[in-house]
Amino acid sequence: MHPRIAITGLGLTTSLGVGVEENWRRLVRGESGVRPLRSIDVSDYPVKDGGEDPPVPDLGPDLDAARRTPELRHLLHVCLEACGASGDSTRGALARRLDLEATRIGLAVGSSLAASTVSEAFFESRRDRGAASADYGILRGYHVDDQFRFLQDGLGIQGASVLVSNACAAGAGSVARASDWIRAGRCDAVIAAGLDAFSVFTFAGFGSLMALSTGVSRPFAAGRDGMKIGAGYAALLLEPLARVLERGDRPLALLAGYGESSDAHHLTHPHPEGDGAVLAMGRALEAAGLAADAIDAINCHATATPSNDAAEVKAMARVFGESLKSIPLYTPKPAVGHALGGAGTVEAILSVLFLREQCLAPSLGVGEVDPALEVELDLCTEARDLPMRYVMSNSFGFGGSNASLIFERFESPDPAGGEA
Amino acid sequence: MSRYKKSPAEGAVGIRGLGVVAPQGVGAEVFWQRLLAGDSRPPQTPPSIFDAPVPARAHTLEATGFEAGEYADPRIVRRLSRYSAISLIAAQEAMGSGDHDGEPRDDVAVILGTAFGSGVYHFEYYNKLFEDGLKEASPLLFSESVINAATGHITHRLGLRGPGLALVGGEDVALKAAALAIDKLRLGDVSAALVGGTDEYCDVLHASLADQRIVARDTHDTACPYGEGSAVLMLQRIAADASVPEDALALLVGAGNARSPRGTDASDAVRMAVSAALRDARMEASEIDLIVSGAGILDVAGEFAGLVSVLDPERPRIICAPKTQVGEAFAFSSATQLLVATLTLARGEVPPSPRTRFDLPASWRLPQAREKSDARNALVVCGTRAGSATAVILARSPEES
Repeated sequence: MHPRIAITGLGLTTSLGVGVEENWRRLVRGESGVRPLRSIDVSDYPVKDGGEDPPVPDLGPDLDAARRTPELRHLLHVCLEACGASGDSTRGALARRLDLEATRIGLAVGSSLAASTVSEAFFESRRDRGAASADYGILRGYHVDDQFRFLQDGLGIQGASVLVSNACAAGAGSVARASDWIRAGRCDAVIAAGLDAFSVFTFAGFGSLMALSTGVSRPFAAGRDGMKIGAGYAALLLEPLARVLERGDRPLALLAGYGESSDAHHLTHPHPEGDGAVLAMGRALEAAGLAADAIDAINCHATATPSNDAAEVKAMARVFGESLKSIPLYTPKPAVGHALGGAGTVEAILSVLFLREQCLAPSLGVGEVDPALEVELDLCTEARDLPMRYVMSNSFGFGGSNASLIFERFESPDPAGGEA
Repeated sequence: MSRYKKSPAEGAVGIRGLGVVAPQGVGAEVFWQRLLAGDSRPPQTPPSIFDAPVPARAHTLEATGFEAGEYADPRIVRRLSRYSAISLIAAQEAMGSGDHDGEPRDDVAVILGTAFGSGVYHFEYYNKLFEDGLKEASPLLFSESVINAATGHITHRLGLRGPGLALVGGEDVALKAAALAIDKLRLGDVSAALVGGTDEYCDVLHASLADQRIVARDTHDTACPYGEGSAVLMLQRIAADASVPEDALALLVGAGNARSPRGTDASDAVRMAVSAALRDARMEASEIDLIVSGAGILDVAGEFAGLVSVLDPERPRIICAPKTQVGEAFAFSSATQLLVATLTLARGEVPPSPRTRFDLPASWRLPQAREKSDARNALVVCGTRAGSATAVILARSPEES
């Protein structure tokens, strides 16, 4: 069983807007960041909309951010929000606030695109100037390690760092890595972040796989035809629970446990019976020391593609059995778009907010459940107040990569479950 | 005397298998023998894939001269990117099996590092997208250019249902993969893990890397030639009350990762990472007698400035710098460091590191020809040009008394 890990900071930017509270306000009102696209010419393309990046907030002059890509600046911004910087971008502020050496603070990032969005600018240059004369200097931004230098310098941290690129499970993977480092004693605090920009690379790629909806994205519905791509940047600050309680702080929520698995089935299609997803959810429950019926709500992956939704429902039915129909489900992607590598972290934050507010945001685009799924699902079409102690958040990605996170409402100091 | 007797006091991580696809050949044994002999491939003229302006006299160390279909199911590998194909071949060898035909292995993880993934498929996808438009985007190129395509294929073909993690990073990324695997195994999350690093050649990246002088622009350059390859290790958790298996090549005993507080000089990061790895291994610096460095011809990252600040420069040590033979191949280079450390400890010989031009303390030797080694504990360290470093410590597998 995993020890409980405290979540003490959140940072969030999506197509809905910048900041945790801005996103929450708009989510609970049933708004969507999916809008007609402006950055790509889709006049001759069947998919016309998506969740594009909002403007990048000003990070100030001290961080030397102006020459960095917009997505990197967005990422640093959400990390600073999670650290409670609140405009104080002074390097080292987090380490001082937590009374930690900078080497004890880690940074785990999940992204499917990693640094590859610079390729778009490069190929524009190549198209305009030819192969021999293209601006190859643009590709200097391709180096992930240099991006981490910018992030860690900006945050004033020097501990363990890693970028996980497990497609749509990458963001949840960054939270899992944070848990690993804290459990292993390598770090006393970890910023777990996830990102993916709205990119023509993924927009066209998922379009080529017929995974994008040409109309409204409708998870679990009959006639569902896919998802919308959305930008997403999110960061959580995780610490050992005991440290947080010792300094008299109160966690926003707890990470009760997580599970990861591989389908071992196909690169792009999920296991039809949801075998890998079952493993991931089962491992998460075991890590959290919970029975399936302890889960009060599920934040679904729910890409609204025919095969993915079917496999996900089968997996949930196998894990939760008859109790599934009584568990309220949330489907985030019609509201914020599918943030791909950032989705797991974005949706982790939404799960924390559900616990904080004791309220589920409305699931957009859902209606009558596809009869072919042969299951009864409780999909909240309106914001719903309900008591929740445990929320499960699932991410299932290309390569058969699966991750399941379980978050717990913090109610009181718990010597039995806390980190020693 | 090795710290580990027959039954380690705490759970250990054993290295049970190796797999390699390299310029020196396919297969760990072939690779090792050629490395010992200093048998580097002659400089190769890089192929032009995207008409990138690679310097006219630049050369590469590519893993060529074999058919992937001879080492893995040809029906499968013919559709894969080179990145995925060579990863799968190396992983199969490390796992010690061919194509999966048995029950799924639920508790085996795959953790693979890369700096660029499949650059060729990635740029080919973009090329087609920009030339032909959105509607002509290739689903094959898109899905195969996803960074975790290689881990996806490995988990699929070998029937592995533990976590499959693709890590992207700098020169040290395979060492980060090893550090992560050590934690997962010690924590009991998995019982075994395939860990390694792969990077493939791409002329677009070559042009950029040569322009930045990260890889050699000609045969006389002090940067290493641009390389490619895949190296994978099979790791297994050894329970605290169990004996170390006789076929364990070596033990992974500690790891650390850090970033320098000052810009791109990695010397502070090396010092901090090595110190953290020694604490993790519960080992004294004096116990390190072999250093497998991530330096190439030059010590660009400042590794040795960091090393002498934490390891006594007066104490004799053997140094090996495999990048001088495999080139700057990023994840493959750092995975090769792990492999070299493993086999040096297991076989008692250290390969040569030709052409190096960095200064060492007088007591630290860098053999220019193969030689015997009685090293018991190896420090594998890689500092990056962006100012970070990862260190991993290996111990020789204890001998039966």
